[in-house]
Amino acid sequence: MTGDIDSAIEEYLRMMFGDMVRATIKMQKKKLGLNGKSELTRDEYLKLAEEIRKVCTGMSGEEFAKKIHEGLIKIIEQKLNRAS
Amino acid sequence: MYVKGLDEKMEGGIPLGHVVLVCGVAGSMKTLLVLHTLYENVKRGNGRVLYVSLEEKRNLIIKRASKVGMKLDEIEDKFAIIDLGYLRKQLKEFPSEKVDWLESLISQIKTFKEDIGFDYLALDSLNALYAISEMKNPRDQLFYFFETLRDMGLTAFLITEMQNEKSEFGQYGVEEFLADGIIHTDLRRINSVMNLFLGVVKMRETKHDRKYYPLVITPNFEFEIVAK
Repeated sequence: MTGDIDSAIEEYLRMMFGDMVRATIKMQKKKLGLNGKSELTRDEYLKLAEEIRKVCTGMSGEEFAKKIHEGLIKIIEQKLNRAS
Repeated sequence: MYVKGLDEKMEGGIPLGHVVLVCGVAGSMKTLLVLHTLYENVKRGNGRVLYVSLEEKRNLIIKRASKVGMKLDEIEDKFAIIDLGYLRKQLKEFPSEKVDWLESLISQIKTFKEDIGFDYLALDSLNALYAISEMKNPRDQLFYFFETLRDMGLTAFLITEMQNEKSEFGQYGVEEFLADGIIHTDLRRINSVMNLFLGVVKMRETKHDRKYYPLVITPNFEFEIVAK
């Protein structure tokens, strides 16, 4: 399931990060000490979304970052709910 | 372009869907001119903008624009400024990640267009993009880049910084053929004053003259050419 969520997140964030999307997510996971974990919990995904929101704020301002974050949360919740 | 006196010299302005180079030496107001054109379009409800900055920080762009009356932070939902320089700095922690920035930018623009939607694109600047991309076959890569922008139906402004001693409008000498239009902002010293001039060097599908006119910003923040 993690792979499924990760792919959906990657696809969604491509508009912000282009081909750097994977590296950007990896970097945020590293900050959170999540790199290498095979499965993330809901809480960890939410933390990851928050870190990504911070990067988006730096790149495109709070308003836009908020929208991206909302979309990200929606994807995470949808995928996790489907898995449970 | 919402530059008083200029649009009528181009049969009403830049045709939609054109890919236009905005060229000039450093300090010749290229960025402000593009921001002004896009801002005025958004203000009039003429579409949405994606402004991609590769070097200048987003907050500095907004600050600079505010000095000439543009309130970009108030139209954020229709005027997205993406600061890729910020991302570049963040990714420095991952030097092993090989990134083809030109390819990446194309993929980003495509996804942004599909997911959010926008009508105008500005890239600041082409030179910065070249500096971080591997340009193995510039003629081919740039042809693909320009064609992709055209295929998406975008009206695009590609800001290009010219070197003082050079007269080419693009670094690889092909940009001026590939572009639909070329706007040139030029600094010229007259006596002890540096004056700014603007010329439309090329604009497909329009009849335009090729004269250079002084470009001024009035106290009401209107952009105007002096055409006597």
